[in-house]
Amino acid sequence: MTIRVNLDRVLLERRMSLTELSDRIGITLANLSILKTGKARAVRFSTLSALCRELNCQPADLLVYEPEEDEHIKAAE
Amino acid sequence: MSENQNVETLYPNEGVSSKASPAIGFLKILLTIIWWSGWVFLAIFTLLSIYAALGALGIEAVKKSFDNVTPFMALISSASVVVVAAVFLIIVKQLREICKTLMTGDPFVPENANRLRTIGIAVAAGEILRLCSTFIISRLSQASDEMSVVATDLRIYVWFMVLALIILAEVFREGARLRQEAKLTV
Repeated sequence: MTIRVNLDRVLLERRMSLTELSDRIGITLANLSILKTGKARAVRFSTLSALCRELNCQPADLLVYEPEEDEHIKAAE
Repeated sequence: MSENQNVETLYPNEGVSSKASPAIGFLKILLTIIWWSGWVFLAIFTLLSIYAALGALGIEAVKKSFDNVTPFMALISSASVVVVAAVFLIIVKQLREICKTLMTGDPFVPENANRLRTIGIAVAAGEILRLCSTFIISRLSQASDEMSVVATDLRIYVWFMVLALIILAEVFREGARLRQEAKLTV
């Protein structure tokens, strides 16, 4: 996956636990774990919006694009 | 595969429906009855095949018990019934497994696509076997031309059913993929 989720870092900066965030935005802990561990295939705008609202951040603080190795090679060619 | 396992771990109780529909419960009972009846049927015809085989091998006492047919023909007939019963049991087994996933509330799994495809292949195999055995029996009984036509009779609807099952299996596979994607959408 070339999109990395920085939920861990943002939570640490806000000194908030995953359980607390789960309670605040009304998304199950299991779903938040999928997101945090990078197993998610897609994120709904409504989820992203709730995360940004509660964590007081921008989508770019949570999601980072990381090109894969072969993409680097293709770009160099 | 590992991804599936991870999702299962994250959702230990997801999909376990607390109340299965009465229709599913009825289907489950019906399939269980058919399953055990199939085994009884298979056992009876296996014994008949062995009996006919003894006659075909030349045991006089057994040979005399066959009136209108030769023991070899009886062997071919009963052996083909045994194979058809085995194919039937394979189909029922797949249906029972599908029913189980339905009971747990999550039938859209890739395994069910494979099961549907297995049913399709089993139906095709059963039909090919039926054609072969009918052809052999009609030849053995020195049948008239009319019988030979019956022997090579192609039941188009059965092949359409095979085609439909294989298409349904692929639809199911796509459904399972979409379900998996929905599970991983946060």
